[in-house]
Amino acid sequence: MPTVRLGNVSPAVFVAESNETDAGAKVHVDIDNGYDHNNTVTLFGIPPQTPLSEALVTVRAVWDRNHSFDPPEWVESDDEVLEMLLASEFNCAVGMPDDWEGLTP
Amino acid sequence: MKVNTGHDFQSSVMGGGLLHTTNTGTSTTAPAATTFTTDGVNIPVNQAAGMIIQRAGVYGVVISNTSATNSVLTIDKWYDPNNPSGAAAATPAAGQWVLLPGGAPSWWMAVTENSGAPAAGDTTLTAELNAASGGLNRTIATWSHTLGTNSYALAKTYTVNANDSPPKTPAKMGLFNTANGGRLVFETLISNPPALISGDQLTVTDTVTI
Repeated sequence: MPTVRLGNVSPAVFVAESNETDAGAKVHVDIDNGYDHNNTVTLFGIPPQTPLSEALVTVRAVWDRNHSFDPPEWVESDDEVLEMLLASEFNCAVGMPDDWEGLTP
Repeated sequence: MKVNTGHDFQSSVMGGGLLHTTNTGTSTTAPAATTFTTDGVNIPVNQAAGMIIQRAGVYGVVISNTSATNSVLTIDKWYDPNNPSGAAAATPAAGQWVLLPGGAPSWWMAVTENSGAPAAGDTTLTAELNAASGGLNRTIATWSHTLGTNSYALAKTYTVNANDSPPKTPAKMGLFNTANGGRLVFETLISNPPALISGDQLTVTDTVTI
């Protein structure tokens, strides 16, 4: 099951208008991570056999709708091709920086 | 919305559920594609529902069970742990088994054209789309979560194909704990559902606040 980790410097949560529909809005969230900024990590578990194109579309859509207001700072994945594609899609670095300050898995 | 069976599901999966007196044994009755006999272990009726039975490198999600000296567990299929959304795994031989505490995740996403309002008493997704080799069929969704936040999301990008008999307008989604049947946990209307033709893609995302 491919996994993806994205460095999230502008975390958000999706707040539904009701519990019956998927309508709602993304709002900023403060992470109590022990640092002066709001860095955290967003995790994705992608089902096996998912085509790369579908994985790319899904991660992009959910990231934009649910998890962040800005592109990720970095990406890591156990699938090297997907990692490269996501880095290109988001124009971000590959691999968590050694000096990353924020929540980590 | 989280339906009534979803409350039951959440309580047992997150809280552990009913731990039976005996949760492991060695069977001598050959398992079948959708049943497993515990042989000598009596589990109260349906108290294993939603739990995972593990045997010889594969597992099944219990739909229901009988109570008898040799309880019979009904599962939807045997799963390959490396590809649970793929074809059913081969039926294992009899032998040592384990019934795991908690339960299987509700990561199976299904859609329907039915636009009726979700109701707490719903146990199935009315008119669930399930065409042979269709692109809109129930499947495992992508899970995501931002560390430190109080929600997670399950999302699936569906691609419509000719087997779906398009056009199709998915208007509601449901999350289940099995590939077939199983327990409905969440049910949500899709806002402004589009009419899809063959080749169209639709990403459905359900956000769960925890």
